[in-house]
Amino acid sequence: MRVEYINPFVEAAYNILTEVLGGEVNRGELYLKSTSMPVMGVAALVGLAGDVEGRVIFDMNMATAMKIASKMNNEELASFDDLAKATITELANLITAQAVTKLHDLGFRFDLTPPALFTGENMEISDHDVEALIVPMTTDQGKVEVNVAIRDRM
Amino acid sequence: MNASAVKRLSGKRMNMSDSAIRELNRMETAGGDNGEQPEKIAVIDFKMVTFSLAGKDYAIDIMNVKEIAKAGRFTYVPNTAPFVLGVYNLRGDIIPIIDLRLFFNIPTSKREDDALESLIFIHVDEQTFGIVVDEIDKVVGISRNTIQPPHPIFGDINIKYIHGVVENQGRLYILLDVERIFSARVREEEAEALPEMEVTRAPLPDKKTSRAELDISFIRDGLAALAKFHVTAVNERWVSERYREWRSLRKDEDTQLASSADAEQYLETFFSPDTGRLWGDQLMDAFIASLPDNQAKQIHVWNVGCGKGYESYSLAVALRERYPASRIRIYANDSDLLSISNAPMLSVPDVPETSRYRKHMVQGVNGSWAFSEAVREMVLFEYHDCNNQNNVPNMDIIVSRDVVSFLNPKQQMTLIQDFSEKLKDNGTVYLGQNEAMPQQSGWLRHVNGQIISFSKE
Repeated sequence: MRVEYINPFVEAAYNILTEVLGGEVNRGELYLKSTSMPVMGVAALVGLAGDVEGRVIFDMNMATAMKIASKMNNEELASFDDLAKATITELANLITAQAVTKLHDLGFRFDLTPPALFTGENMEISDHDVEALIVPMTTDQGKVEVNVAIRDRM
Repeated sequence: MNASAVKRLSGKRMNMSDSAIRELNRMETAGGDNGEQPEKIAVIDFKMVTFSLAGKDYAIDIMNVKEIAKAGRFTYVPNTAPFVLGVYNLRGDIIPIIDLRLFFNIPTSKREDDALESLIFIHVDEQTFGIVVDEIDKVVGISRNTIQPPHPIFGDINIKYIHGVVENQGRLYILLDVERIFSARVREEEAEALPEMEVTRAPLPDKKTSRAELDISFIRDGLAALAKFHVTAVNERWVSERYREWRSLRKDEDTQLASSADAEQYLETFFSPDTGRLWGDQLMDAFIASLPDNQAKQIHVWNVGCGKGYESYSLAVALRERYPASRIRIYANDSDLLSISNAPMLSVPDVPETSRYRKHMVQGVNGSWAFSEAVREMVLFEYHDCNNQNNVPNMDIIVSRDVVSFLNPKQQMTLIQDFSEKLKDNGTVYLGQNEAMPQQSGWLRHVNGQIISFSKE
């Protein structure tokens, strides 16, 4: 993954999470991964197209998703209903959009697809030909992993 | 602070934390300034056993020391590291004996068979070790806050094993970090246990193999475990040649690699010229002369393991000079995030007027020199691990110096296979100075002065 792409995603994830959750957000060590990976329970996926191709996945477990949705709506949500789903989808949208805006300022042209949300147990993503950058973020509500795979179109 | 306050505080010292004691010591010393002997007031809260190795003074925290003794004639145990002298029976407990002089590579005088050695028995992580030293001195009591952090110039000992330096009555003691020393041994043993698969796959030395071959096979294992350097057809020639040098370098000392410092020393001459800096004129000239003619409009270059980016920029300048009419695209990648994140903005403090880099560089506001937009646009830096799928177009030139040797044998095969797939039929591969493509594997070797390159058969 192009070095210039890394920081916008890391910064966007940090900024947005800090802003919407209000608490302390810590970033873990970045690393590369290229195997099929288990999904923790709730995954929001945003596709990227344009000069590049790729996708960003926001992965968290159900408890974290509930807490984040509750916090963002400022009320205690009891079940993972439409409102909660829309909230997590919106979070994915916010972060990706901010990253893409930053990249736009650097001269890279990206388009976004509308986010898709996947929930369930024992899920696995297996696009293991793709090398993904993992940005682990720890929030007061739990762990959120941002999984970015982008490559330049040849 | 008056004397009664000190007394009152001293009574409470039992349940104080270290930092509180340190603070108190500081206050007491300050308070004692008008007294006669301020040092005497300093609290002794740390005792250490002192001893000497090759004439230098060392110390160990007394809390790690079980007892001291004089003993000799240890029972030899085969197949152990050279610094393990054997085992000793201490009142029924069998204890490994380690020669600290050998461990730290300090020259030892030849010992006689029956000579009694000075032994310190130490206790680390519920294990007891006996360590052999030159001479045991005494127990010294000091104040914990007088321990100073180690300075790189002290002693012959790897700095990571030093806890600190203490001055006492005009003598400097190097305080060893016993826990670090012995737990490090455990970790290394674990690391050595890992590549077991490869060890068994290597042909077992039969009885006829010479001592040198046996030694080399141990060195191979050592390099893999300590430096992640894997000996295969790519580099085995260099490893054998280096072994001859190594033996004369080590003289009578043990030729085996006992620590990562040893492994580093063994690999000292492995790296290609101008690694980690802009290539010098000599290398540039030789490299440019070795590049084949190429009329293509677009030249793709793959720079695997570009590190901080010096190599990629050197390549950019060299290729611009050799192929002025072509568009050049260098795909540079490295899996070390810290190194590569600064590569796109690489700058150097100074460029000599005569340097061929000068005309491709611009001086920034802070006086340092960075590459011009035109050169920067030639290089695409990617954070990428070449063991994962390599998504690059077909290449005219692949430069991968001293990268392949640091992958495990399976990854080496995969990467070389990838090189073969991604390289155009008229393309060229440059490996490290001491690396070569395996023989009879479809690669042709070209020698151009000091530069060796490979192309497909």
